Order: sequence, then C-alpha cells, then structure tokens
Amino acid sequence: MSAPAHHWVFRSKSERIALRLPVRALVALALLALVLLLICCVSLATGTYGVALNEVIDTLRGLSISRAIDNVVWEFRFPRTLAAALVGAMMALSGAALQNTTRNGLADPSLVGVSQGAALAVVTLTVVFPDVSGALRPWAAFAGAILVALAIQGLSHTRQGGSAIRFILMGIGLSTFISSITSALMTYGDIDRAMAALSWLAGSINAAGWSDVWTLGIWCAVLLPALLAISRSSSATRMGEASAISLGVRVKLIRNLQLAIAVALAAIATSVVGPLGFVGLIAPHAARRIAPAGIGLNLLITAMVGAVLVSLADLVGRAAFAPIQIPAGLLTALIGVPLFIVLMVRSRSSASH
Amino acid sequence: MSFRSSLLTAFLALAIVTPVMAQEFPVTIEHKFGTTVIETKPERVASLDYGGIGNLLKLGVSPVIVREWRDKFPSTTPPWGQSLLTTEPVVFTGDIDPELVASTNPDVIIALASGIDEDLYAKLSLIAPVVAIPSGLGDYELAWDQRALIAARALGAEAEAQRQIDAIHARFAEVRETHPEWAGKTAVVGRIVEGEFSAFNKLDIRAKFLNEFGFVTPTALDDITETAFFNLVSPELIEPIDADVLVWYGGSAALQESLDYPARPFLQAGARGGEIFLTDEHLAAIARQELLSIPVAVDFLVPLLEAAADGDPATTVEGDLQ
Repeated sequence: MSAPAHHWVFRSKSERIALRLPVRALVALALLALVLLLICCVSLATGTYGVALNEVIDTLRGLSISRAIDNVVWEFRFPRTLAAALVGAMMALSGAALQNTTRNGLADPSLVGVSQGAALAVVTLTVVFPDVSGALRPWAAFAGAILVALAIQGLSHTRQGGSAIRFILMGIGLSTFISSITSALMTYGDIDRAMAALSWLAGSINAAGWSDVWTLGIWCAVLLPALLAISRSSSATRMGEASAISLGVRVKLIRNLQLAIAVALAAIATSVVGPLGFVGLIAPHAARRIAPAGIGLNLLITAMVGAVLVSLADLVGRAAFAPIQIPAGLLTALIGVPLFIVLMVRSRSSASH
Repeated sequence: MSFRSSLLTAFLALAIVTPVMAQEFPVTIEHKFGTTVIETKPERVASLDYGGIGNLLKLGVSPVIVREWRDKFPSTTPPWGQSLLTTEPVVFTGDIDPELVASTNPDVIIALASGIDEDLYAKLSLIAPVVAIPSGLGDYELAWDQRALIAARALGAEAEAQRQIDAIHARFAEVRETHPEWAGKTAVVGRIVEGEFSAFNKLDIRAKFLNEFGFVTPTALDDITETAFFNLVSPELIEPIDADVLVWYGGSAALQESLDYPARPFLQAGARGGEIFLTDEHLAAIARQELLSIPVAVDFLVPLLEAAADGDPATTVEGDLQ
C-alpha cells in the first residue's frame, strides 16, 4: 500500500482488486456517517415521551427499565429513525442514478413523476381496493413508477435522440397530470379511504415499523450493490453514448438497468413513507460539491447525504413543533424547492456563458 | 352424578349472575384488527377519535388525551360539556404519535373514528388495549349509536350507554309524532366549497339526522352517487338541492358566501322562508354525533325546523345567523 498526498491506493494480492480513492472523499464519507450517527442518537433521545438520555442508553444496552420505555425506544423511535435514514439513502441514490441515466442534473424521482406514479398506484390500491393487503404496496408502487418512467422515456425520445430539457419538461407535465388524477381519486372516492391515503401522501415516516425497516433494508441491500456493480460502466456513459460504446460499454443495457434500479429505489421508498420530494435532486449535487470522487464513492456519499437529510427532516418535523407532527415530506420540499430554483438559475447562467 | 349436579348449579348461577354483572371485566371486544381484552375497568382513557370526547364525558369519563376537532373548542369539549370535564387532556393535531399517546399512560385507547391502520394498531397495542371498529366498516363509517355503545363497553358503562341511546331514539320518535307534517318533506344540508354547493346525501350522518325527524333528501341528490356521502352540485343545476328546507352548514365564516351563492334566488326554500343558517355552536352540535351533543342538537334544531318547514316566509327562523 502506498499513499500519495491526496489518494489512498489499495491493491489486493495479485491486484484482483485495486482502488485509488481520494482521501478527501473518504474523510467526507466518514464525517457524514458520524453526522448521521449523531442525528440518529439525538432522534432516539428526542420525543414527546420523556425519557432521560441515560435511560435511552441503558435501554439500548438491553437493560429494561420499564415496559413503556422499552416500547418507546425499541418500537416507536428506533424503527422510525432507521426508516428515515434508509428512505433518505434510497431516494438520494434513485436521484443520482436517474441523473446519470438521463445525463440531466435536474432529474429527481419526485420531479419527473416517478414518485407520483408510485403514489397513484398506492392511492388506487388504498381507495379502490381497500381489502388488498399492504404487502402488495411496494409492488404496486414499482409498477406505477416504472410505467411513468417508461412513458417519459418514450415521450421525450425523438428521432434525434432524447433531449435533456425535453425529458424534464415531459416529466414535470406528466407528474402534474398524475397528481391531478390522484387528487381526483381522493375527491370522488370514499372519503374514509382517501383520509387514510392522505397522511401517507404527505410523506410521513410516523407510522414506520420494523416490518417497513426490513422491507427497506432488504431492498437497499439488493439495489445498492447492483448500482455499485454497474457504476464503472455507467460512469463511461456519462461521457456520451459514442465514447461509452467505443470503451466497450453496452450502453443500452446499462442505461436500462440503471433506470430500473432508480425507479425501484424510488418506488420502494415511496411505498413505505409516501412521496418525499427533492431528496433525490439535492443529494447528488451536494455530494459532488462536498467532495469530488469517482462514481462508486460518489454514490456512497450521495446515499449518506440523503440519509442525513431525511433523518434531519424527520427529527425536526416531529420535535420542533411537538405535539404537532410535521411530515418529513413537507420539510424536504420546503428545503428542496428553493434549492431547485437556485440550481435552475445556475445551470441557465452557465449555459448562456 | 355429583359432578353433573354441580355443573348444573354452576350453569344456573352463571345464568342468574350474568345479566346483573353484565359489565364485569375482563371485557372482550372483537374488531377488524383482531380481539382486544380489557382486564380491568379503565381509569385513564385515551381517545384518538375525531370528535370523540362527547361519548366519554356523557358516560362520566374524562379522557387523558384527545384529538383536535374542527370546531376547535378548548379541550375539544363543547360549552355544554365543560362541566363534565374533570381532566386536562392533551390535545393533539394531525398524525397520531404513539409516543405522545404512551406519555399519557392510558389504560385503554379508544379508536373508533381515528383512521388507524394495522401497523398503527400494532404499535398502539403495545401501550394499552386498543378498541377499534368492527370488521367490514370503513374508517369513519361506524354509526353513532354503535360507536357510543362499543366505547361504553370498553369503559364498563354499556348499560348506561344503551339507556341514553334508547332515550335519544325515543326523543326522535316523539318529534316525529308531534310533527307528522314533516314526514316525506325534503331537506338538504350543505355548504359552499370552492364556489360549488357541497350537499350531504342520504348516506351522510347529517342527512340521516334530519331523516330521524321525517325529512328526506331529494332523490335527484341521492341519484348522483352511491358511494360518496356528499356531492358537489353545480350552480347551474338546482334540482338536487331544491328542497323544502335548506340547512346552510357553513357556519359564520361562510355566511356571506352562502348568501351570495348565485343559485340561491332560484331555490324554493329561500322564497318560502325555509332556510336555516346554522351558528357555529349549532353546527358543532350537529357535526358531533355523540351522546352528549345529539340531545342538544335536537333541542335547538326542532324550533328552527318548525319555523323553516311551515312554508310561510312570514315566520322568521329564530336563532339562525341571519
């Protein structure tokens, strides 16, 4: 192992695995992980049920103080904290993959309609078929999301190839269209069922339980490695189709795989907590700004940024105005929309120069 | 032989004792998420329902936590129920936070019009036994008398609740008998929502309430839909809301909008003095379909209906907003 000034190089025996990693990005990743851990700790120690910090620590060490405190820490706060972090990471990764596939820095699952497609599918399931079990939710969400993604891809693709701005415009149009179908369904459907769908649509992590954490965790464990596995090829596609093909990348396959993973990540996250806006947009940009790195490490930083963002939004949403609970989705949109405008303005000014 | 006779004795004893001790704990309640057993008579009661406090107060129970309701009364308790309130319940808004419920340390959690799902039920059950709605019903579809009765069972006050429910039904019957002329007359309850008249059809509790006095909703209104309990009616279409009595349900905030409704001059209720503009308190009493408020609503509504339904524009409807 040799260590030049700004890179950390790792070579395994006979160089089957060789990595050259920028130190700054590694430090950033470690710091973000620390921040996430800190937020999770604060989140575990914060809530409307008064539990002293040392009691929380004792409970986490496995010492049972009382049944009530066990419930609060293990059943209410812990799954919610984990779900927030996982959902954040998944939305961020989805945004990153979407931005890579479309080669468009403004792509975000909630902006181009992927989340809305998932939401419409889930609302339809809730309102029209209330007897169908909740276990079908992720699959319905995925079906809705993939349909929208395919529709946008198809509609924005012209004979001259897909244009970036066309993709975004199609996406925004389609997402508005789908949102209005969702509200129509909520208005004219049975009010009871619409009410049930409503709090979910606001992007609330409030109800997340251990089963949700398992769903999110398992899918994350499948999709993140898959995304990392194709990251080298997908980084080549960022240089343009012709260059990627000349480098021996199967562009079409990689692009479709990446799109499928992006859609799956957004759909699973959406099916559990509802559409969380703008995390997928912000996180990849923030990651790039925090520390430039190769695509693999960049994805990890992106995921971490997303996890930090949503964990923070959930913590602030439930603690800042307690006992009023503000859904995390509202807070991410509150941060996200101004940031989106800044990005739009910047990209326009850099394009005109 | 002796075993059989002792069994018989036990049976007889049970048969005699059961009706007297009908409310002995443990109480078992079947609902859409499973079965809840309440071991002892609960002292600290949590209500997660929209407008849920009136049944509890009228049964002598003051809750430890309640959900904010649209009329925004302090502690969600209407003025006519304040004297029954002996606790200072936590009032929460929006989503149910299980942790907040746990912090009030309840013995039982009433969730009969709360919209909880299976996940939330499981979480809440860790805190205390949860009383949920029977299977086969939508989240807010439980009829007012069943809702009061199930809550009462959980509190050990079933007999008292049944007595009050019977009294309310008797009062309805009495009003019907003293006002035979109301039978079959049409009445519409509604308000303006974003420029359109939102009318409650026969599936709605407010329409059902007037139906207890003999009034019916216009068939043109009921025919619009079979699932939703309200319809948005275009101002160009007056038939569905053209009734003998028109109850404006907007309260003081929507009075001007109601008066300015473009189709209003063309409705027969206006010409015949058949309009009732509910005050906020009256509206709250009707909206809360509970043991506490139904008798109050009947008391104020009957004179209003008498003045409105006589078909004579000269008799003014006393007590309304106008």
